[in-house]
Amino acid sequence: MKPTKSLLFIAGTLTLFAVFAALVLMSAQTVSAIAPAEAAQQDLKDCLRCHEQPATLWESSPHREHNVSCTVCHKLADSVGTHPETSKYTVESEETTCLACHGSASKENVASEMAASQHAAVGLNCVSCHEQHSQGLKVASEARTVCENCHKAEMRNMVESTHFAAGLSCVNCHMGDGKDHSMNISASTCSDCHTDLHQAREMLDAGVEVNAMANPKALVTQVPAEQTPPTAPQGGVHLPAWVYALAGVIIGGVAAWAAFGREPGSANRKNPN
Amino acid sequence: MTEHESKQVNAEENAGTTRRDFLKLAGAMVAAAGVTQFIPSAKIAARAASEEESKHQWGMLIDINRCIGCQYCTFACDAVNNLAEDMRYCVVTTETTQSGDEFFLSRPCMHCEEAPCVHVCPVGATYKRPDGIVAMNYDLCIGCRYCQIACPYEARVFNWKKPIELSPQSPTFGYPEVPNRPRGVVEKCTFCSHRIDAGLERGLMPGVDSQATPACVVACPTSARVFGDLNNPESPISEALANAKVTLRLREELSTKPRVYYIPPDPKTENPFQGS
Repeated sequence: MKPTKSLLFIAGTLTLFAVFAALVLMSAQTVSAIAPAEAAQQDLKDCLRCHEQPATLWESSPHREHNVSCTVCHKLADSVGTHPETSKYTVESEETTCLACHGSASKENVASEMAASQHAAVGLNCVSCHEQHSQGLKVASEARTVCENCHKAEMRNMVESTHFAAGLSCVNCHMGDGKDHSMNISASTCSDCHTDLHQAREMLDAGVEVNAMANPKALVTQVPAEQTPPTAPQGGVHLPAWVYALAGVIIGGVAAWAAFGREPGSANRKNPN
Repeated sequence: MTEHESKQVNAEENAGTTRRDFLKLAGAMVAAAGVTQFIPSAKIAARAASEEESKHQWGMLIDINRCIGCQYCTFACDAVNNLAEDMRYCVVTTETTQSGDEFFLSRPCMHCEEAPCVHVCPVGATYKRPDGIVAMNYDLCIGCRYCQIACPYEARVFNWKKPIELSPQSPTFGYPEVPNRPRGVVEKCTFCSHRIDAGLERGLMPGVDSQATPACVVACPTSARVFGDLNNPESPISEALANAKVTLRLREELSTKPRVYYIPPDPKTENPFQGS
């Protein structure tokens, strides 16, 4: 083999390796970014065929945004059986579904807040207020807020209050900005807005508008900023890793053959002249 | 033999055959009438046997002291049975005790052991299942509404209109789980028998596993409703009945023997929602 040929061989092999490695790395990155979303899509496609209503609710839910799909909460009762013929999906308990993510291990720790509440004392659970598929609030048709489903008398008082006129609702005091599920009022609940109660009294007596009280920002019902999940990179062709691998092998093989394949069994070599 | 004579003979022969046949028929009818005398008792005996065979007898307990009048039971029932607001099987009303205290009375079908509705139905469209549930066969119902008049608990509703597409309580409180009933039949609470039957098939226990338990019981946020097998001493309802100091059934003086028990309002129990 001539030295130019061997140099060409080494350079070609290195280039091929580089191209192949880049392809594999790129595809692996893409797959890891979109894998949960794909699984969620697949779940939805399969489940939607029969369970249209819950799937529709889930489609626009926070769980959807975070790719918490059907099978995260619903487990197949029998791993051998097939759904729906011989095996059904179960509705798991709150401990293994909601609290798996929103429990004491999580940052928000709704579970311990809830456990400290009067709601838990009378037996309420997550789905008493939240619709499980949309995770929205179960506001009854004749109620204004989910609280009014049960607290009708309190709501009747509330709508006649100055607080209601100022645009406050139940959760502004009973949950606060941190969405405290214990529903307890903290020491600062009143003073957050009414920095000086006596001063506020004087202000009211002087005919000052309610909205002009201290810290007017707190009077506005704050809607927490929507958390946008990391979106999968847009554009490009997302193919499984093995396609890239196969393409690499084929390209490499063809290139190797084109560069050196003729050497041992080439007809030209047999009859050099 | 002239043609006329032969015709006459034939007529006589025919008449003879007819008489013999008539006597045979009459005999058969008498025998049949005799047999039918035994059918009702045989039917009752068969029904009694099937009642004994069913090992489950479903019942419900409603604790008035825990009820906060939120109507979740009604909403869940509406959603699961796909009911319009004027067709409710389960209603919550505000009632007053003799001492003037208000309380919430939630009322499903009582599923009486001696159900007046079953007795009056002229076509057998409403019947008692071996597990104690008073059920309807909507294909047989002629819409005479005798059962609606006979029911002392106003548990039955007549379907005046075409069934609605989707209940206003759906999907917030659930999804339709049973087929819509046609117009012109009387409808009623089924104790969610579709859930019970499907649940038992899958080895779930109604009253314990939520998927096999009536929707109203699952939806109740304060667990005021307890469901289960009255025959099983370890079922939630048997334990709740054993632990309750006082239980009563509505209109017990009528001897309808309802399967829905109540824990009456206790003046000592503070229920902040009462009277609201």
